[in-house]
Amino acid sequence: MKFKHIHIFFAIILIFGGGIWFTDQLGLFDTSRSAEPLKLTEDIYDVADIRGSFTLTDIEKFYQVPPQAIIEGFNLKEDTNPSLFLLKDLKEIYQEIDIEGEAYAVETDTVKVFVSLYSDIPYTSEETFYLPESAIEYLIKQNKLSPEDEEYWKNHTFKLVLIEPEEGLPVIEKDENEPSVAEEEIKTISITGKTTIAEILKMGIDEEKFKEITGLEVPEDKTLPIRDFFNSQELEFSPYKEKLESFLSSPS
Amino acid sequence: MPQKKTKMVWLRIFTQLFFLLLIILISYNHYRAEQGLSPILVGSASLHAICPFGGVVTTYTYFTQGIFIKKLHQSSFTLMWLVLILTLFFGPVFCGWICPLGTVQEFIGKIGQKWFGKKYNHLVPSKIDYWLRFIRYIVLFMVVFMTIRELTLIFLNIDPYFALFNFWSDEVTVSSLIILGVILISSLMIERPWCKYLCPLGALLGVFNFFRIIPLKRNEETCINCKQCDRICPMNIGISNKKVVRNHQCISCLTCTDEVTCPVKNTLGFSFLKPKSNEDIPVKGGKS
Repeated sequence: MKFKHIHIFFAIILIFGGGIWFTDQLGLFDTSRSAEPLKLTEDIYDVADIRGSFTLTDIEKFYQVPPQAIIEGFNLKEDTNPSLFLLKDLKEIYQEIDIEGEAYAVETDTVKVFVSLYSDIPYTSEETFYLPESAIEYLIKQNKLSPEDEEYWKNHTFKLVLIEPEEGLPVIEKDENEPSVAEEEIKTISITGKTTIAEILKMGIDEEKFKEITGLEVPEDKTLPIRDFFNSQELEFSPYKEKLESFLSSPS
Repeated sequence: MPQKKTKMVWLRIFTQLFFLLLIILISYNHYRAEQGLSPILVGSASLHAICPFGGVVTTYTYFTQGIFIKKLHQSSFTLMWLVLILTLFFGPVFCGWICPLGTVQEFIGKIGQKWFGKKYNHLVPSKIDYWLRFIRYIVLFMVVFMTIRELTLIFLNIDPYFALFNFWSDEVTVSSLIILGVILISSLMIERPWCKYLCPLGALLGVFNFFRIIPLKRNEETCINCKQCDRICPMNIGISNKKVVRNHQCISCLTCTDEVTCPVKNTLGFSFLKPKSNEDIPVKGGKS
């Protein structure tokens, strides 16, 4: 038998197209990553699977490390929103530090080590051998370090240095009459699919108003991203996004 | 005897365009999803999730640790197996019919053909060209080795496919953009330079040409030795001196076959091997 264009065309439909359809039916064509990190045991999540896309709220949810611990440990602003701040944002805030001739960035792996020490979940980093001074001070204050760990980490710290305004994000001098960063965020932030129900409520839409705008009750799980919530109701997210944003821009 | 062509070549172009537009749409949808907007027509998967090479680099960690490398998903692993099955039968059909980066290079090459005429795709001296074609195996080995060692998607640093269809993303590296630029410019002179010299997935799939179930066969008895197949092959394979073409660079585009180029009916095409056939026997005076 001779194979021509038409045969290869149908082979692509059958093997490639049909294969995708079939494996999708079997649950073997998942194009997204589970929102949950991998587990080490039944109840313990693997610190190694902490991702840059995790918020401080995620860290609290999966590893029981309160947002305040990371805010204090990493010298973040007091009014940092735990549901909006992503771990990968740390890289945009602090300068790389030169330690023993190597550039050292404060990033997701730094948080992994911090979380591991805080929660006593084993994690061996291949890149983080120094932690911010404030992080170690916080861990000591909270009695989270064994004497051996304390001995080691006390000698392996560095000071956090903010990125200069011209190098990264602008550092705005705080004026007492100006609205706080959190207030400003609420006024200017747009709703994305990843915005959680809790954040929507914080933005100034109470549960009643939410029902009035969307026709739906606020779900029990307020950590649910808004798009997932509408999708679970088999509804398109974008019309509701517009309605919610339009209410936020002119609440009256 | 010269034959009347059916010109089913449009089926390949249609398939190429379909997958090119599909990837552009999925990539655009991914951008929309990040902005909180709903996807249009198809899903909003990340490009990592729909590239079979992701499956190749994460195979080791999947079988030894049960995990996928960061940024990769089950879908890329599944896609890899589907592509391998297709390749086992028909050779690297993925390269010649599906891969959007291959399609873009091929389309740019059409401009090059007009500019350079007969010199197009014959500008690299054959001795240098021969050795350059093995670089993609080094790339394949290095990328897989480094990925296993670092447990991160190392290939992202040089991946022109991701750079082309996601150029607005901050995930795209400067090095991958430079490589993309060089490839697109080179495509004006060389047909599919990325596929020929550097593509690690093409390297893996190319190996299947040595044992694919349905190879390219030439009928010596009817061949008039016009060498049109040699001249038209986008991968510069010497076809006219083989009974069975098992070249690692073949992309199963069918351009050389008697359905498209070969002027004699039933002389050059894809078919099952007959038992005890003499494979790859050069004909006296033929191109090596």
